[in-house]
Amino acid sequence: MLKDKLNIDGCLKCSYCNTVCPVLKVRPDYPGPKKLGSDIERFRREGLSFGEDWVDYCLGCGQCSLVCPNQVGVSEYIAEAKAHQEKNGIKKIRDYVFARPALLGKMSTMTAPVSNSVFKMATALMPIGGITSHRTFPSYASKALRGSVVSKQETDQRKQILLFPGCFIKYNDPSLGETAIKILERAGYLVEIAQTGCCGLPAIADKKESLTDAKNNLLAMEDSVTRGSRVVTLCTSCGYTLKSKYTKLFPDNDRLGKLADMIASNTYDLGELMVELLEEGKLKLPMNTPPLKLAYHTPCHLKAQGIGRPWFKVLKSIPGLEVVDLDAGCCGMSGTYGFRQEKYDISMKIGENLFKAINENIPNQVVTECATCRMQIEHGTKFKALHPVEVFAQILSR
Amino acid sequence: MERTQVVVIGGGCTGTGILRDLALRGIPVILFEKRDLAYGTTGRCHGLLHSGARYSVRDIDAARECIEENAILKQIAACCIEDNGGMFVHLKEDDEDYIKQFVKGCKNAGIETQELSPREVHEREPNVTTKITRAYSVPDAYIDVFQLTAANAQDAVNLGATVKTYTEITKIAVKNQIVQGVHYLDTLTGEEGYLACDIVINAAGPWGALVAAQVGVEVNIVCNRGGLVVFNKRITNGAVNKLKIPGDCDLILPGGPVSILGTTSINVSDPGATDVNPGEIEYMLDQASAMFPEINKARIIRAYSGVRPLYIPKTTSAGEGREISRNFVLIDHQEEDGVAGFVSILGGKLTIYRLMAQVTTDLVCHKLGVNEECTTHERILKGVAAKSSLEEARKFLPLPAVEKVGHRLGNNLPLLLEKIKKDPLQAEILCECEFVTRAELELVMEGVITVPAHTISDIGRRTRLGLGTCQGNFCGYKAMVAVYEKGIWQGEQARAQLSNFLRDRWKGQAMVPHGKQNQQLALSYQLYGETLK
Amino acid sequence: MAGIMATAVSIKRGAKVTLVTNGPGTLAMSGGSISVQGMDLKHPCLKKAMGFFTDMMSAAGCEYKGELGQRQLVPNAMGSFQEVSMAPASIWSGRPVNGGKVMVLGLRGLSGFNANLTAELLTLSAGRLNLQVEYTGKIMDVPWMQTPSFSTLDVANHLEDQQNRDEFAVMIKPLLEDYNLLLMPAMLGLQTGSTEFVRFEEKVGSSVGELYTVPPSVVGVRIFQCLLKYLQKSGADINFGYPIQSLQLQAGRCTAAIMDTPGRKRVIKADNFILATGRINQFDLVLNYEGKVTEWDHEEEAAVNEQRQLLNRDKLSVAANVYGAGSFLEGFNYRNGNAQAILTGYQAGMIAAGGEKIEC
Repeated sequence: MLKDKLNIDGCLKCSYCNTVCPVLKVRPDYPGPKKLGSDIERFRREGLSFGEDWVDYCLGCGQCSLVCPNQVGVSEYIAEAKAHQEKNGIKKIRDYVFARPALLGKMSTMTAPVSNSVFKMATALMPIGGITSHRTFPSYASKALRGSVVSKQETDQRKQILLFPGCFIKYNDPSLGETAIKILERAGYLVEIAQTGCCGLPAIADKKESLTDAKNNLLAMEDSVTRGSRVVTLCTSCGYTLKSKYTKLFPDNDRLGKLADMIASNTYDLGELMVELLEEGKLKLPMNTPPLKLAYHTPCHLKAQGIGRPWFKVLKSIPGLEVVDLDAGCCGMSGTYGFRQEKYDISMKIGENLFKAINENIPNQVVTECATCRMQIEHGTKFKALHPVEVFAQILSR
Repeated sequence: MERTQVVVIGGGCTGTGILRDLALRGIPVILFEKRDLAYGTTGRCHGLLHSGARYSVRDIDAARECIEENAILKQIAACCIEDNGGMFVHLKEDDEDYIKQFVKGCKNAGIETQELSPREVHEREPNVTTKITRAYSVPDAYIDVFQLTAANAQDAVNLGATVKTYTEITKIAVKNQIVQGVHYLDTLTGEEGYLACDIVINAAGPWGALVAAQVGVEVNIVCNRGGLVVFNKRITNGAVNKLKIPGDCDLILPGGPVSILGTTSINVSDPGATDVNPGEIEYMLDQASAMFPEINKARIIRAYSGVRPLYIPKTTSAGEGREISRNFVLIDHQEEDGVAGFVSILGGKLTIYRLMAQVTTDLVCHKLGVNEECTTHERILKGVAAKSSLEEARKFLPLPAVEKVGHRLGNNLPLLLEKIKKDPLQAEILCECEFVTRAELELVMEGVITVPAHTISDIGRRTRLGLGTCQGNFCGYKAMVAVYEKGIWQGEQARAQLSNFLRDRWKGQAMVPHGKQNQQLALSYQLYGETLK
Repeated sequence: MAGIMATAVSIKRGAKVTLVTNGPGTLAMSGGSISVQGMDLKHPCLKKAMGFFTDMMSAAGCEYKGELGQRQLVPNAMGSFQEVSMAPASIWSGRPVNGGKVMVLGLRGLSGFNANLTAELLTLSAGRLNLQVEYTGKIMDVPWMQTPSFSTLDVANHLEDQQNRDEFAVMIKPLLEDYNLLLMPAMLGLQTGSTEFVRFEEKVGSSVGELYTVPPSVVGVRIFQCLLKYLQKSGADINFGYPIQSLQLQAGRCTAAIMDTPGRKRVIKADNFILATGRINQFDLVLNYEGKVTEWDHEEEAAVNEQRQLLNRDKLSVAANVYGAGSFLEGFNYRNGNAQAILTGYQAGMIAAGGEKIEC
């Protein structure tokens, strides 16, 4: 309609979106973002239903929207269509669980010793079905993440950070969160852990669930943000969601809408904070770095945030460190996409370019902000992948 | 010597409607159209299937005719109609007394209305202003005029009638005040011919006066131009009219994926006027903005004009466009002017085309001594696609293509599927804005399911190719290649066809004074400006 | 193109450059050929700009052929010839040579291209130009496309892989015995650089020329992406997707550009700003004079003065350090759009990175 911000009227049919779509690159039979997004959108408005099986194959990487010369929200249109499509059978159950990583996380952290041995093998999840047996699930951690422990006096003096842990840190890798907290404390921040759930991005095809996620999270962060805390994420997808998705979810709810705007404008990727410190000359960089070769991969949802590549900048400025820009496109994982049986091959084929680039570079370490990118890299190559903050911390501790 | 009983001049909805009615009553008939079917007024009108509510205050008879025909067409021409409904919306600044007259008029005419609360209006039409006082739903609908004309012509052809497009009548032969036949010129081949007949029916719309002049008869037609703008997407879900005395730009109507806003009302001398004046679009948007506050931001993809042929009886003087009756008149020139075998059907509007055809055919039958009743109010114009065909189509065609082609082809859908089954390449989508396949293009070029197309614009009229967002920028080229591959056009001819097509599309876009379509046009010039030189 | 030129020139002159782009504009829609028809060839900067451009393209690995003084005809998929001075090497290779026998190759199922049609039209066009060149169309079946019909982009994605390209060359080679030039629609991969192209020519054993097609024009996209990679390697900070929303102006100078990024607007501070927003990209700019906001009227063509400073409607400079380049400027002509972009981008880059005076 006229009031929509996604700007379908901007489309010139130039097809440039198709040239960057990772799925189209490996599947010529995929209709591509132009058709699924802006072409069909005009017809969706007639109220026709199209049995859009293909929209399910969209990665949601957002690159089409990003390169559109006319800022058409191509991927957002596809996401809308996903939300409207009907599912049944096994996929329905699987997608119900995948849309709720927190549910899976909670279930397993309660009984971590048991569930790890179970979840390690994805085949154990086969009762749910529709999940590829080629991958292993990340293991689930039993300990909970805790924030900075400081005296009352310190609390008043130091700058406050509200860490949005996201599902991965919360349930799978609390130690990454601990590392980030250490680095933030070193830079003079006080870190509080947000009592939030899943950001809601995995539930994009399940509108009700993603609205619930968003609402709970907004309310859980309200107090701290109102008091002036900055929200920090380590996950580029969570960050992207907090910044760009929540603000559009509550057009009819003034309070939640305003809160969403406030939280969006106060959300930072950890890298943004680091670059800010770097530029202000406040970031103590490690000296005498051993000759390490890092290969840096840019996650799609980092690109989508429009903040450049802050961690790349930080790592590049560490003397003695060699940082290779892999610049090899999408990894193909896209959250749970790569776990889905019918999409595993596509996922791996998309990743080929990246795997090749990594293998050719033979780095000491691959770094990238996104947890599922790291999973994919470790699955597709023999190299280990870490979040940049982990490498940063490692170098510091040497 | 070539001979038939009746000649119809004019391939609009009236002419093709008459053609079909005559054919149904078993009368040999040939229709001549100097361009393509629906090229003139029919193809350039709003496409509103009136409920009649618009005329309920001023002209109760017209309103009655409309609602009766509205109900008939929804039955017989369902394949060409999108029954989205409509509403009349009253704004604060408009005359309040009119509401009462409107409700009463509708009731008297038998038009079902229902009052809508502002909230209901907003649920149905979120883009309408919040400043509404009253609103009523009416059974308006959108009718695809190209499909309608093509379906009428095709049903007639199936019954034995003949349609000659791109054929001009150069002279009507009259001897002793009796029509003898017509001289014609095939404008594509340059061939000339003569066809003897008993009766010539003048259904040439705004060109009606020129046709009548060929037999030395004067009819008074005012050519009244109405400008229309087409938006890229749907602005409303159904027709939205202003609840006031009919005026400029008080109606917006969704048709397929687009919305059409209109109209203006300007008397012109040229029946072929298709341009809009500089500033006319701004004027139209300005008029419409009271009802749609944000309409200025919506993308216009094209603007054009159609000419209403308004008939003025010889005794009255010409008034302003909106004051002249939009009712039709059937003239038996034997009685009026003493020329036997010549009949004119003038004025009228789309919604009542069938009725116009019926009364004309009744008169002709009477003259010919044929005693056959009209059946067009009962006989289905074109069957809808069978469910099984639609399901089968899903195996070959992506996404909206099935819906769209199913609607366009109706019960001819199996022909398309046969083509695709024989050659999977036929499933190629040529026009991505309107989802037109190569198979569909071939069908309309072959002339199996419609009167054959001769140009890319003709293809567009039959399939909607090139009528979407890109305005033929990409699909025009692909259509040219497809026709070439079909072996119908040779190289140079193909290029010339593309060039003509694009120039026509550029013209329609160049009239849009602002916004996104300028960029689309810039892209098109960039692509073809040099290569098609 | 103008924005890319300005970025490259500024970097070359030692400036730190942030490039904010929302897509490729007309460059990626066309074949990237450069014509100087209707331009003043004596313009003091033109030669230097073209020289810089040629060097940049060859350094980036997507080489251009030709030079300013040349007038050569290159064929296109529409079956006509365009007069150009320079063109991407693969397009340039397609020039007609008297006495030549040319095969125009198409693929069965390739949407929007028919080799026979193009060959037929090229033969006619060549005849009209008194060129003795014979064009023959040939449509080949390829086994590797999964759908019955496909686009040049689909083919390009397949031929991105060197092995696939080699296999393709092997398939073509036997067809080419009687021909000295192969013309085909641009589809040899989106990242195919000059070296890969030469390799392909060697494998087929003949010169190969590309014809650009309706968008997505593989050759245009290829040049755009190649240049972006080059600029990124050269140190440009490239930002996609969120165009500049407003310019902050103070005391006759621009202090910052604001990007409309999600969550929070991003502020980019710089000493100089160049606007090169083109003709087909969405672009809504606000000029913020210390809180007083005016909208930039993009319906009207923009103008610059001799110092390449961008002018407002009253023909006064917007700010001392805001420059304009490319096709959004007045006097644009689609015939020489790329050459104008190169020239104006060069000038703007030179001034923005090097102070007041243009050195050419």
